[in-house]
Amino acid sequence: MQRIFFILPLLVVSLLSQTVNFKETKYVEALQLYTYRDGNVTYSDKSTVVRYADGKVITKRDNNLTVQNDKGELLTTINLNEKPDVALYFQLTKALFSKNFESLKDNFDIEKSKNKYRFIPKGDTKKVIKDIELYLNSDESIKYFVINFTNMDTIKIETK
Amino acid sequence: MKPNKLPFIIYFAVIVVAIALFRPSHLTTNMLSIFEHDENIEKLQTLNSFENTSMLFVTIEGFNPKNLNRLKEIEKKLKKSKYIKETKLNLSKIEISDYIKKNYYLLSEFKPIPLDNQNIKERLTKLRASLVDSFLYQPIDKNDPFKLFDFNIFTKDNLSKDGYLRVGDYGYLLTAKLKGNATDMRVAKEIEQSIKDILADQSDDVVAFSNLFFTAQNSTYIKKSVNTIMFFSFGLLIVLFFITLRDYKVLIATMLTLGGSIFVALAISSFVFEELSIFALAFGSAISSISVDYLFHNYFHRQYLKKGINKSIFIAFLTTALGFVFLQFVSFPLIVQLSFFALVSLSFSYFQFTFIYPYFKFAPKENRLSLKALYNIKPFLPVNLVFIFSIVAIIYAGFHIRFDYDLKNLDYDNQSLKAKQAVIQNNMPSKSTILIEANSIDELIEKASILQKKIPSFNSVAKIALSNQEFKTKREKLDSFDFKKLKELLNQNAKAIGFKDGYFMEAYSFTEQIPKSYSPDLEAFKDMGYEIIKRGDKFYTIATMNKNEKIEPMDGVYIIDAKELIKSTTQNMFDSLLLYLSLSFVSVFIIIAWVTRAKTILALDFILFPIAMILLYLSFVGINIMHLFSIIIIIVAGIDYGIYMSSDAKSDETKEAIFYSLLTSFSGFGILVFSSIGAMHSIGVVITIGILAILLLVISLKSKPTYNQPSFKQE
Repeated sequence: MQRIFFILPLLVVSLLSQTVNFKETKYVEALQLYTYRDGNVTYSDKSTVVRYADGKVITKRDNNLTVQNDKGELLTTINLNEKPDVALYFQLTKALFSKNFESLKDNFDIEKSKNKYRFIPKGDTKKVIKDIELYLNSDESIKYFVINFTNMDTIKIETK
Repeated sequence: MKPNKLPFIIYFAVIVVAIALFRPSHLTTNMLSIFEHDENIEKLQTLNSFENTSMLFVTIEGFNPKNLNRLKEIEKKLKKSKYIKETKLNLSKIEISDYIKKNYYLLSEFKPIPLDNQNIKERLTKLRASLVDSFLYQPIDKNDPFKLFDFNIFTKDNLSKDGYLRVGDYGYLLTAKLKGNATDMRVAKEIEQSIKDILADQSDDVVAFSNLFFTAQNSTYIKKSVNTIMFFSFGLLIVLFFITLRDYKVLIATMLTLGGSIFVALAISSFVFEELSIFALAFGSAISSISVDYLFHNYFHRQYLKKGINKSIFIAFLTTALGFVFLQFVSFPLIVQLSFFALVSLSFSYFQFTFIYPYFKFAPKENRLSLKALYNIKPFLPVNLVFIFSIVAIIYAGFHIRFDYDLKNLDYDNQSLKAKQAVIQNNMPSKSTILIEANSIDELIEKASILQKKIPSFNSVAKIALSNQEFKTKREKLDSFDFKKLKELLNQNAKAIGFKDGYFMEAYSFTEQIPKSYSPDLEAFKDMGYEIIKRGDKFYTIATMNKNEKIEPMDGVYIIDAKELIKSTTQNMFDSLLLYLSLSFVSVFIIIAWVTRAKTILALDFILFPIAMILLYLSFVGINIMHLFSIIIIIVAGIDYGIYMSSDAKSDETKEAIFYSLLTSFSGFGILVFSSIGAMHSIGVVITIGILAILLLVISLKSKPTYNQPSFKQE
């Protein structure tokens, strides 16, 4: 059942219509393995576009997610209405980057210390996510955040 | 006992009996109660029995954070209301019912795989690659790494934006389930007021709509409109009696008589009928008011100063009563109810006007307004020509008239609420409602399941429920699969491919916990929006599907189109109505022909000409059920006036009596023509046309010299 929340795209949604470069570090407990990826994300009112260094482009427009390879060929299309977990992840990352935590309050309790936020899951979210930590730079911009899953996987996203 | 006291004793005895029999709780405003209780109406009533049908929609134009936050604030307040069951805005809010948790794997689609070493190795290799290379993070479900169980109840509809509900391209959408039936007027008003209070501090750009608001607002508007109309009606009657007749005693007595007759009819009808439509009361009262012509005919002929009874009035009463007796056999509840109501009311009015009023010796005042100018108009309409014209016009209208079956056209035309409804409806996918009926819950789920598999957009309880057969098949499929072997092969190969040692130790252990029995949980279904109800000895559920999809005919599966169902029922009722109306008409015709002899055509003109004029008008605008009943009122009046006019057409007293009767009817019901409520306007327009047509005949119909028939000689 937990699988409902598991298929999370590693996407980062940034603020406003600006492009943010990021580095993603993923730890996969099943393989005891770290993977790294660089990319950038452009977020506008209508769409979110994530470009990875290897050329893959993920575009979210309305409720559709498309993935293209480095040659611009369409690899797959996902209807987010059928994948609320993926849609949820977009919302989660967008909320984290924009520091607009209101939409997370239904599923998380939020603790704030000096330059850090901690999101503690509530209800059934607890079964998937252990917690989320978000660190700020001295200018209050996002330094990085880490999503710790209950299966011991972690995803860390740093802005560059 | 003095003989002249007997009528008063009877009068009070009737009132006492009526008070004892009165059952106010039997009165209903339910529109469906006026129709024959056939299978169509049964379906609509079943649909009304579902609790989940009352929804509130709130939206603000434009997708921006400000609007979203405002909706969140509204949601918080709504949640505190005792009338709100559940709200929905943020779709990412995760709430999984205990029922789904318990039956998750049973409800999931199970896709077995071949259990050979090579296949497992290939799957593990793919799994590893997806963890390392995939652009999407795909964490492994340790319980079901090969995704053998698939559970997806999510709709494909484009209903969300950024994880929030939305209404098309208009804005974010907040929905709330309301605790209350959409047809209960009192509850509807309470709920509407409570929501109004919650939204009081919001500006006008918040669109809040629920079907229940129609019930709440329209009943208020209708009440307000009725009050205004009654005020004018009362004003007109006062003018009529005080300024023209200058006889306040007659006014008071008439009001008492009509009020008493309507009450007695209401009380006895409420005792006889378990469900008495408010429309029966309305039309019954209108017909009762026609009885005022008994008074005026007696009054202007100075009958109350003489002995004995006026035979014309007696025959007019008897003819009308006989017509209503025939209508008792129509399979149209409203007709049966209102004809019963009218029978009782007319009888009691006749009794009072005939046997009690002589005691008061009412007579027209000498100083009353003179209507000489009216009688002096030279008649110019030939009786036979009017008759032929009426017949031709009725036949013409019969071919051109179309029936307006939409009950909504009878309601108040609530433009502001309709505009809000349009915002929601025009931006949401168009859906058909399907009612599924079965003898048991299991059969119900089975039927829903068959359709669920055939129709892609089908949304029913089958998404979250299993029939006994489905459970049995699912269990057999699970039991026949060797999960132990799968687990062995998985663990044997995983380490070699690079997975952490012992990572899959618990994989597929849950299969031992999958329930060995299954029973539907109706409360859980209801909470998830899939309600199952029991009515009589049958079970029902509602499903939806896209309007453009077709459904093959299946026993106990009905697409609900209220307009079509009512149309079909009304058509059936019309057949029966036409038969008994014809019988009524024949009986009325026989009596009229017998009593009016050579003047039969003249008497019939008073029935046919008003009908012809009304039908001609209706052939342009369409006829609805209210028009139809109002025509019956005019027929009743036409019978009376036809008999009076044919008995003594040249009598100024008769014309004066009819003139005042018509004026009273117009004051009471013709005035409804000014109402903006469909049903009331319909009654008003028919009665006004009818009254004008009769007035035209009274003034201008040429008549042969009066026969001095013995039976009609004034005593």
